[in-house]
Amino acid sequence: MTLPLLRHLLVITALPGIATASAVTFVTSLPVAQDQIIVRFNLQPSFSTKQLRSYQFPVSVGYGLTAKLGLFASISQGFASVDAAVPGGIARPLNGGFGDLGFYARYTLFKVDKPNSTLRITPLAGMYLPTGDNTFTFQGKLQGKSLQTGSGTADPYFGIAAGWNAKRFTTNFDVTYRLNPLTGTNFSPGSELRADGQAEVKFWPIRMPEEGLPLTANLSLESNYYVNAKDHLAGTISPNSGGKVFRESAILQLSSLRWQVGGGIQMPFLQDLNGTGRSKQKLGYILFFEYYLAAPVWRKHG
Amino acid sequence: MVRAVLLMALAVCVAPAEAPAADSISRAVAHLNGVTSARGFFNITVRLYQLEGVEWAKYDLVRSLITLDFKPGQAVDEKEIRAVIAGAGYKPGPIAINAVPKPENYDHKLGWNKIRRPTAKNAVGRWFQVNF
Repeated sequence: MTLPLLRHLLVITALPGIATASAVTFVTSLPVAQDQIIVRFNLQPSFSTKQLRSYQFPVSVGYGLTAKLGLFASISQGFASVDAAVPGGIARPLNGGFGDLGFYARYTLFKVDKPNSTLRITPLAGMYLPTGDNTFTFQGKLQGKSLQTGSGTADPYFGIAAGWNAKRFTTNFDVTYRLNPLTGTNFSPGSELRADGQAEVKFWPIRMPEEGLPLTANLSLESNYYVNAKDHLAGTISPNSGGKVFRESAILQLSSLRWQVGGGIQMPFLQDLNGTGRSKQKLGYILFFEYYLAAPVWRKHG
Repeated sequence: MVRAVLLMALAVCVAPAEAPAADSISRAVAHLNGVTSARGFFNITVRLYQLEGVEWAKYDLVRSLITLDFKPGQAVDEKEIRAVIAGAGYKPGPIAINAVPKPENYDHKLGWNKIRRPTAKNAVGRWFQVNF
């Protein structure tokens, strides 16, 4: 039950911060300026014990409504399967489809722009809408969140993000909370508190040219810490759910004026999971492509 | 010796007249605060079409400079440049505006990019012109 599909759908909304290359494994520092649209496509397969396999394809979109206010959406889709013991052997239930649709607004409360760096502190708040499925059953039994794509409720989501970006180095941090209330059928995947950090260095070109804007290669090291409350299944708290997870990711990125592409590996360092016999993540991978767009031009100029 | 003098005189006579001065253009060089990556320049780029007459932009990451070349005869308003930079979310620094000879070419490797101007009649067409 570690590495739940639902958690992926939350986490994966991997999007990035303003003015620089940005974190891939968390969404809150996604950079977006006024009249700008950012679209990020992700592919995130991950593999766990008990043959729990998850393939997620989240798409994240950011729009700069004003210079300080950004609006974001995360559209999740994917599928997961796991081995399950059944009379006569092992079965492999699989579920997939669209997950919950997330929206949030981020406001730049404080910023310091200098010639060689920028600092921003940005609170955010929003909601996940129950567009995913939370009724998947196998052999008549409601499955846990690892095989569900949605929480079944409108989930408040809020937090704060901060970033300091310089020409060679970047750091981004956030702390967010998603409240997952009980559904009418007493299902809940458990609320989630998470803290993320990122350190990134542009390592290519080794010597930046005096003129111009070169294609840059970046190495991003990202940490994700989750504290998950226990699930509710059919009205009872599931003892084999919830816990603490700490993951570290190393991601290579290539950045240009209009796009960014990258890939990396995600390793679990700590999996302190409640209960017994839980499925634990072994390894995860991340691939992404991001394209920057101008917003529609409603009025003709010139 | 006489022949040499005559040849020199002929050469002077047939030499092309001095080329007329190149077209002069207005060039604005703006210092930027907060732009630390390509994405920062992109944030400004997508708004540059709002500046009347700007044709080329040059991005210098190390020095945090953006250079804007306007079409010949275009009047340049520093306040409008500041508004575009601020609208993209950055704090503009000093801006110098000078008349310079129009360059014969603009080298992309040196950071020059042609500014895409949306001219289509409908909004969808204009959006494509700016982005693709």
